[in-house]
Amino acid sequence: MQPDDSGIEAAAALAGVLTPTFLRKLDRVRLTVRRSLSTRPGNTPMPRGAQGSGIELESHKPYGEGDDLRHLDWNAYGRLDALLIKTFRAEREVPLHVFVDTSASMAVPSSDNKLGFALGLAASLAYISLRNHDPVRIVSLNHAVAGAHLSSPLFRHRAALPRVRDFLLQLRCGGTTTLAAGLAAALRTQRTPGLAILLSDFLTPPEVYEQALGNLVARRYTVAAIRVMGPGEHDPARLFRRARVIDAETGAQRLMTLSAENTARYARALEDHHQRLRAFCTRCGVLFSLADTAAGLEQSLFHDLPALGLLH
Amino acid sequence: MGVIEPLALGFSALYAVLVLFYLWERWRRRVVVPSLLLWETLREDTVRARRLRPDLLFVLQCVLLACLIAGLARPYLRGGPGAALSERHILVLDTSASMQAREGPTSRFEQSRQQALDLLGHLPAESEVMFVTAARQPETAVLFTREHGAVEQALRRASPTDTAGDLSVALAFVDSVRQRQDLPTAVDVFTDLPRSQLPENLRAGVTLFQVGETDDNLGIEALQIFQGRFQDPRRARAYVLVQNFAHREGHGFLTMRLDDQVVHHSGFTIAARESKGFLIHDFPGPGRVTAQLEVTDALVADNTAYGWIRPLRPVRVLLVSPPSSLGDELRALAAATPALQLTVVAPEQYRADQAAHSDVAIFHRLVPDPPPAVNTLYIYPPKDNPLFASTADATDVEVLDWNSRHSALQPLQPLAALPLQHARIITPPEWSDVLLWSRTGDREFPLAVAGEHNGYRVACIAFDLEAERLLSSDNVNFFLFFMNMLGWLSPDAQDAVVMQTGEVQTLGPFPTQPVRVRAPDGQISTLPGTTVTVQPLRVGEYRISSDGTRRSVLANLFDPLESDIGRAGKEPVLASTTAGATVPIAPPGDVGPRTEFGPWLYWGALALLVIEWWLARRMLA
Repeated sequence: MQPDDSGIEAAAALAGVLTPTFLRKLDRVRLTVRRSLSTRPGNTPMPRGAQGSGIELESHKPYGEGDDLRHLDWNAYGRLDALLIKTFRAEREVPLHVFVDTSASMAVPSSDNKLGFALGLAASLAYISLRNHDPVRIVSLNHAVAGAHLSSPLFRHRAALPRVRDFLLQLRCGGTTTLAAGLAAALRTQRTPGLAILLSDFLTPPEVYEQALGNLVARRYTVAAIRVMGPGEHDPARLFRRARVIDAETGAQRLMTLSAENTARYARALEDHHQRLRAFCTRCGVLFSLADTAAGLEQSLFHDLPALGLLH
Repeated sequence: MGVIEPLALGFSALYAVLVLFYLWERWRRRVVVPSLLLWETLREDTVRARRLRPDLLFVLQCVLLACLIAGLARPYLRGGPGAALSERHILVLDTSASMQAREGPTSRFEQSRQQALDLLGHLPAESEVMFVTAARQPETAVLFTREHGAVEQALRRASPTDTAGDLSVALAFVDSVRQRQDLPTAVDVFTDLPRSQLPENLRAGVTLFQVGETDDNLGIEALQIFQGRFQDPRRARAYVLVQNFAHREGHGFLTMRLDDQVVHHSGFTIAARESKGFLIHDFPGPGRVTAQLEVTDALVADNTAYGWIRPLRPVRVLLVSPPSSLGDELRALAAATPALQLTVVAPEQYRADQAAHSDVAIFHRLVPDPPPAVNTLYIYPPKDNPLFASTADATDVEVLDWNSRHSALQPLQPLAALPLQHARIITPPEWSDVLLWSRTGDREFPLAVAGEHNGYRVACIAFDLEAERLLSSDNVNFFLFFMNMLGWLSPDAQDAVVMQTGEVQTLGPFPTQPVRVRAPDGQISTLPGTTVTVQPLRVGEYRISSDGTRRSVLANLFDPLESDIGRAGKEPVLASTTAGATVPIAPPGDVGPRTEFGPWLYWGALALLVIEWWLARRMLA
């Protein structure tokens, strides 16, 4: 097994994100959320739904018994001689739940720096959300820890960013992938759904990630799945031609020679895996993005995710 | 089938290295991947780490290594493809003297014969076999026959000779036989000669079975008897040359006998590859001289040599001459020479029957017609004579050239520039050889001729000996020339002939037939006719007799090439030290020509290498 350089990678990734220059870039983007089941008022307007009080007038409705007379539109009464009550655009807080897959597979190949990319992306999304006064919770999915997950406290306010960083810095790769089990365990402690972003390499059998994502969808989260992949995983011929390949999580081994045939088979298997994942996400209304670590965080934050509709 | 270099099979240990490489290769570089989920559809390499499950490349490598190891071991097929297909075989057995050399308890000849018998025993029954012995010349002992029993009997009857060998003649002979065959014919030669000494153009297609290693031999290389034609036999001398052919010092004794009487016995030590001469004199009389080496060596045939000191028989000379100083000189010469009985007759008193009672007739200034039935010397014949056509006379001429090879002129000192006062310019007859030449201003002409005419020896001295004063101290060469001519005209009685073994000599005529020949081993042969031709194959005395007339042929082996029995490339082995030791003879199962096919294995390994390279590239492509 390779030595665990994930901590070094995380530190390096966070150091690149949590710079004044980069944060100013992140100030230009916001999370796009279409609904929230949170009842707490926030700064995020809901595309649909009105509330009795608020800042932004949305529409009027006829007065009904029990309505708050403080919201009676006296101007409308004077003009229309009708009793109309003002309704205001609903603004709710949108909790952001960032689920980071920190299984052993995220650490290899080390040249891909998948964990560092994921943590950097998590930190960036956390900042965007905190800047919008929305709470953020980061959950590490890792079978090596008790309960298969490690949850951070709910971070609120922008001033909590250093604490976000500290939490991210402590994350290490290890253990097997626990998308389904870890998510399930983490969601038991969550009462309010919100926006769930799952950062993983999704190198699990389809039933695992389907169960994980399906669980989130069932709990009425707005879900986004970001497949983190590096060039070494995309093209293993960069790494070897003939080798004993070892599964980072299970330790299983296979003797491989990357002949032309095998290389083609791998590419097909990778494409099929992505196709299936994308198809499932589409069916379940999950936003899916393929993030190339080699392209960098900015490509993902400012191009891919806005194109996906997750950011704007 | 067999292998020539079995030690090369030890390279099979390299298989362990190959397996280790294979397993080491299996313990290949480890690469951790996120998950094997995407690798499940890929074709995995079949070799596992802990169990040896070879793939095609490994099998090819094993076969390639096997080809290389087998090639190094030099495998062969007994009989070979050519010989296996041969329907005819020619067995050539060397029967020269060197084959008698002892190699331990046996001899080279016995070893070769056994090899030939073994080969014969392994030949297919339907194959035709021809058996040829080869000594000085080849002899066909058995023509092509399918009766291998007859060939076997001939092999067992064969015996070596005391003659020098010439295998090239035998090979040329069998090669000519093989060329005429319509079936493939294999030639198997059993000899002690190495292949390098065979003619290069005759080596192809010959399977050589070489025997012999020792070089331990001392032999008599020469026995020369020095005896003047008219000299007392007690004044004869013998010179013996003994050669040590071994690569170490040799010791022994030399014994000289005259008939059965020992006249000399001495010990000697001769350094390696050196020779030593012995001069023996004081022989008590005429007779057979035997030189015998008492040594312990491998070859006995050259340890004995024979010579002959002839008895002194007077020569009856008839001189027909007018009164002259030549007659006086010849009378003085005859008075001083016991073996010379001279009769002088004036020309007008000459009768033909007088010459019949002489051994040699000398005619001075006379050529009778008809010529006498006796060996004749003509001195200064007259111009008009029936035998030597004369065209002119010459005065004050000199001897400018002479025929030094003629026995009459051996071993005279150079006769050049001897002045002559008078000479006849004669035309040499067709039956004659010119002995001396001179020259006038415009042509050469003979001064002396000699030859055989009508069964008699005839010589002619065309210049006047009388004018030259034969017995003058200034003309010693002329005197010697005259005496040599006289000796040539009066040959010895053929009591004994000394010759080399293997040479051919005609003797006779004998008075009656048949003629009995007794060989040195006691075997007696009876030959028809009064003239016999003998070819002695053994060293020793052959006695030829017919109705009381006896002749002896003394045969010697004087051939340094044959006596030098050591063979290049083989370590010399002392015959004496190996006495009693078992000299290995090729086992019965290991006879027959070998055809190596190792080079084919090397080519096969190269082909496998190319295939493996191509396969490996294809797998990695």
